Amino acid sequence: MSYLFKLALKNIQRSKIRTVLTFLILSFGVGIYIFFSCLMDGFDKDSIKNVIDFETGHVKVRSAMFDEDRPYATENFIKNSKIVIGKIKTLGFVTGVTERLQFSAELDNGMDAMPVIAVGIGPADNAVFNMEKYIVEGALEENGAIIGKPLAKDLGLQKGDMAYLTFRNQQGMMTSAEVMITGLIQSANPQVNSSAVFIKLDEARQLMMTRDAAEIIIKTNDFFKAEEYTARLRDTLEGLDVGVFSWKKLSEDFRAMMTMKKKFQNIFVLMIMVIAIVGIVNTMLMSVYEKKREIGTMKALGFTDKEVQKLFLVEGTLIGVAGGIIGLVLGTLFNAYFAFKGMNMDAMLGDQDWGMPVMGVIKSTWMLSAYVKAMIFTLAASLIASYYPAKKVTKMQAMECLRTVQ
Amino acid sequence: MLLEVKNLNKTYRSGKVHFQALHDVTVSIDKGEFTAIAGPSGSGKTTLLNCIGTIDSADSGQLLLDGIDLIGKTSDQLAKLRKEYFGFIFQTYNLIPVLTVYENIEMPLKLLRQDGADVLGKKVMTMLEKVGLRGLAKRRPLELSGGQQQRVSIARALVKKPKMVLADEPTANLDSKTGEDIVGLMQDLNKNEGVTFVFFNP
Repeated sequence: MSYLFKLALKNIQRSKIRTVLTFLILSFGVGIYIFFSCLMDGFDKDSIKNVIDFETGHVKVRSAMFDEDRPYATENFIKNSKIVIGKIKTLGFVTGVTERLQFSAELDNGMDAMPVIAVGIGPADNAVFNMEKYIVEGALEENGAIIGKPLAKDLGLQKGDMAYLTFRNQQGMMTSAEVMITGLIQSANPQVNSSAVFIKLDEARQLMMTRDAAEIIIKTNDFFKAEEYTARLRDTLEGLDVGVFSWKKLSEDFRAMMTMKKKFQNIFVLMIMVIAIVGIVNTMLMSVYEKKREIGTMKALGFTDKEVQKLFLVEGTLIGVAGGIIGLVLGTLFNAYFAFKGMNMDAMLGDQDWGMPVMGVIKSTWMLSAYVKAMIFTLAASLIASYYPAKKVTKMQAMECLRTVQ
Repeated sequence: MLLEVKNLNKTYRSGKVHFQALHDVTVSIDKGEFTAIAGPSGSGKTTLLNCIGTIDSADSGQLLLDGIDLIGKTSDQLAKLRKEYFGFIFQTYNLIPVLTVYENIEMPLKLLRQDGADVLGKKVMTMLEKVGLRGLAKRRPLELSGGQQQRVSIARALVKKPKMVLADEPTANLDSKTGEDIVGLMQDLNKNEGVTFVFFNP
């Protein structure tokens, strides 16, 4: 095998430009795959973090009557939230619990109105969500509201301006309340930025004329165990007319989008890899035709068909491995930039909500599995790509090869 | 008898055109002989060489090498026989261009896997000495003249001490002086080493 390896190495060096071009195609494919996988992994992790930090927490408790089609209807309110929270707090894995009261409303600047979701947040909100970190101006004050910077921009509002929040309270009466914009938020979740109006929970309850909560959100000591904790919470809260949902269940739509995105990503990567495979097949076929006479000579000297076939397989594998290694380096270099500097989504998309819960700077991750997959795929691809040309060699008769005019 | 060819037939077919290259050819060659097979162009000399050297198959007849019937052997069995029995000298040298002179000559020994690096090296250098190319071991074939390339080809054919060397028009591409030198060299090897030579179109 070592002699065949040596011969294969010499053969690769024969057409330097062609070999370099094949290396480039392959390494580019591998590099793009690694970079893209790591970037998308970073994107997914940020998305999940944002969903948890701004929407779902680790586990959410809703009324058993919760209507998915009318998520902000007052009929969805939890009647006995204090008792529910008391029971939740007895569980050791719970590190934070808060209640929120959401209802649909319109925010009016006196000229224009925009549909919004008013969110009453309790004092324990920061134990579950990560909102404070993203407040770019002001704070939540008495009779005040924090709104997203993009929403403020759309309505021409600034900190200190007055606006009107119009909504239907629990009794069904249209109500309008004057609120002062006391803070602005620029979160990593576009939905929060464009449609949330945060007010104090007590004030929200007064406005809605209720003592209820729309949802109770829980943070646990390990979000990977959310499913297990959800089951335990269900047992604990049995008989209280509530439903318990993990962040996974609550983000099903978003995760379905992630799966779809991964499929497109795989198709894209597959296309690159097909191009790389075609490149190797082309190089190997050229090599076979170019060396037809030599193949004849080698067979005349006593090389068996299998040995000549092995020689071409080794040659293809060498190209694959070398191209793969260069690709790993290339992918690492591409990825290093985005892992340290990140990609600024705002610069690309502005404040637009494009359906995914990410904004700001996304940093790619170092995804070991992408490296392993890329290397395995490269090896498999080069073996598959060299198999056909190598098989062709075994079918060639020594005499026919020797007759070739070159 | 080293080689016995009995009633060998070979017909080439290309579409509807049939050409019988060998018709009931019978030849016997003994060990240590220096045989020349001559004939006009198209008389089937190269076909006979290819059949004897097992790089082409005959349609019918008998081909006995050291008593072994070569007809009906598998591709791998024939490769093994070629490796052990034959040395080929081609009209167009057929050296591997990416390998050095040394590496071209060592190839048959590497295939046999009998010698360690030291013995193998000595054999190659001795052969290079015999063909007068000791100083050119590191050159590549394309850096040599036609005569030098043919010497490399002879060295490659002889380095493993084959039982029979099949030479197809070995001097056709050389000038008369170099051609004579090459034939002289092969005669010496035949006389001194006892190698059986079969020339086709000498």
